[in-house]
Amino acid sequence: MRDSMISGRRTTAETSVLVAFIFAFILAPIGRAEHRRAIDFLYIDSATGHATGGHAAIRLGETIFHFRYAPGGLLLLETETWERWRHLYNDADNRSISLSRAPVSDATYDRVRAHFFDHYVRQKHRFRVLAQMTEDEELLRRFAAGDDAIEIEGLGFFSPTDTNSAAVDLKARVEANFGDGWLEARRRDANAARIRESVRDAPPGWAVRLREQLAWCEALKILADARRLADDALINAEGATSLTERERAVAEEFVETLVDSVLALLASDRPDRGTALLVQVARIQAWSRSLETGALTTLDPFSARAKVVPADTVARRYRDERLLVDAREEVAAFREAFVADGRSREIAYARIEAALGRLSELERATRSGASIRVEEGLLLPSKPRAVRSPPTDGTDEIERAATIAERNRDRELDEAQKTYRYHLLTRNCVTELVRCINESFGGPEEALERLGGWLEPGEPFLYIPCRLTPEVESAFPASETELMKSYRLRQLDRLVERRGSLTWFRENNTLTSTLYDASATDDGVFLFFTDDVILPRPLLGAANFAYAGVHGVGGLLLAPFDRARLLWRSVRGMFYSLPEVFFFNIRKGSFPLVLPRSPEEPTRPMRP
Amino acid sequence: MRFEIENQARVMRIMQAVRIRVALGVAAVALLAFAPACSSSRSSGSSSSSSRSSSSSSGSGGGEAVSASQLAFQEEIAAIAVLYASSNGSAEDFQRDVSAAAKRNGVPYWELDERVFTSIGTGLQRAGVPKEALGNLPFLSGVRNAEHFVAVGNAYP
Repeated sequence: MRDSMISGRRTTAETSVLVAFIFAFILAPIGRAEHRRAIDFLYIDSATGHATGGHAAIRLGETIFHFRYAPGGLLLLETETWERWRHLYNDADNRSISLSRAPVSDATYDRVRAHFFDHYVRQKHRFRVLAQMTEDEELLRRFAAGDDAIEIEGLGFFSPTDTNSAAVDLKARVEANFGDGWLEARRRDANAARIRESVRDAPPGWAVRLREQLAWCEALKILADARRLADDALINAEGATSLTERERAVAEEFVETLVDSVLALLASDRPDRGTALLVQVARIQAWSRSLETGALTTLDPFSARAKVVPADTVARRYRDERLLVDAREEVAAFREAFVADGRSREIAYARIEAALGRLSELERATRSGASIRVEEGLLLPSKPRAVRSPPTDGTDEIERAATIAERNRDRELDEAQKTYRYHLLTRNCVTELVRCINESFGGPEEALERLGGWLEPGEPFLYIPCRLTPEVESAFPASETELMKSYRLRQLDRLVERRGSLTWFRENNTLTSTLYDASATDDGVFLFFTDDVILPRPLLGAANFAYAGVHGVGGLLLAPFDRARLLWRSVRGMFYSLPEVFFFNIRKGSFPLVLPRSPEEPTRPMRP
Repeated sequence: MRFEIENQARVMRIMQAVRIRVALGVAAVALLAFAPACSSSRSSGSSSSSSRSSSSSSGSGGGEAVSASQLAFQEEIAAIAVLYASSNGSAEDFQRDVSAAAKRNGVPYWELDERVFTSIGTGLQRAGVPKEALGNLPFLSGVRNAEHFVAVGNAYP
């Protein structure tokens, strides 16, 4: 009995141990999952231009946050997707990145990410208000000078005189929903003159309200008069294949969503509804054309800010089959997303517009070598056209209002400059990054508890970007650091591995390198790459200095013919050779044409 | 005597070379010490590749980029709600800020998207606004659609 009891107890104890083991095995991954997320601290190696001191950023999931130097001596928080940011810095700019991963719990991760977005949105709001005040002043000055034109985004997509059946059909849908004559009645009510008359008070944001009201008036007019799209409103690309049956079905459904959005905007009191309405109406007509012809046609997505690249640069940089292939793949990827994702179809369609616009420009470059438009970032169609503002008497009043608006703008600008000014030692990309992380918590104790470490902005020497990695490693013992080599160094490793060490000698200079193409860049003149050597660096730096100097003599002679391009590149080449003489490397050479996903090199696999 | 003069000239030449090198060194150190940091990258010269997360070799990169934009937009909306909960701005300004966030993230139209209103609720909850007070927020007076107002409240547990 006793034995059995003992045996029974033993069995219980053994069972407990076994259960504990099982729990440990089951729960361990859950415990680890708590630390699956991380704050990735990034130090980006120095480069020529405005990046000689290096740069710092953090990555939270697929989003990059970094404080960037901006014109006017400001330092502003920017966000970017990881893949695009890595491509720009690590590939195109050819800078190595040191990534230190500090694991944190999901709750801590969410908190830091939310705080960065709070900071970002606060800053964007501030600058939106400043932009409004700037617009007040500029518009009033123009009014005072007799210039009454105001640009309305979206209006440029429409013909001022012609109509077509798609536009008439849409007008019929609107009247079926709101009743006959509703559009005309709204049009009579919409009155921009009232806002124009309030000029004597010049309340901040006055110009934006006037522009919004004019856009609303014009949108109602476009709908009521059933205006068709202008001849230059649409773009298409030869590389975009015809619509598939599935795409047609999805598009017909999507057009109904667009019509719903038009009806909702007409009933809305959202201040910027006019421009939104113009773009949605234009999109309906663009789809109507696509469904009619079977070929994908979209609105021209480039804004007035798009850079026009002259023909000689096009020939040098953009007549490349690889760019065309990539642009076609981009269009195809977003067409696939458009069909697949019903919940974010609006975004996918906007991406198709942007991708098709870029493809169309590249096709023109390949075909004719003519100048092309280039615009970075996400594009939303906005083609503007100017309209005349309602008249107001009294130039003196306008002058007085402009002076008040200028004063308002200057006051807001001063405040913004005080809040967001850049300082080499006390407010730069590292100090603000650390400060923003710290501010996510109630104080150092909480931050220490949640992050497992604490960084103090500015100390010790934590205002120098290159100090970020060692300080993170020391403050967060659980962190792990990896080096992401620059584009050239990665490619060089691959070549040396494939073809042997002698390849290194071929690739270490700009004359025989197969990786680097100086003609595709605006880099300063140099002969030897010195980012992967240390001891011979002074010697190579001296050679680079002399080489750039010789080119400088040639540049001086060519200056009248090439607008001093070679001369300027030579001067920069000499300048950035000096640090190399003293063992410092800043220049790496850039690769502006490298694609995000090079066919020879799959993009580095992303960490979970 | 001649040897001494030649020697002296050689020493002077060496000294001069040293001085030049020191000056260059100081210039290089100054260049690094006062080097501007924190600048943006040069933009990519490729006119394509500006919006896609192109990590995958198939077309799924498009879907990832679209989802990333949607997520970032929703997080910005929540942050805008936090800002307005503390500043008590007007409904018009709130809508302008939402439209500006939509533009930044490539979202062409947001007014019928229920996720926008759920994100507003997420932000208000984070800002410590009680659910019962939602109807009293002036900047939410533009939310007329009852379903959208319910969506704001749905973000609360």
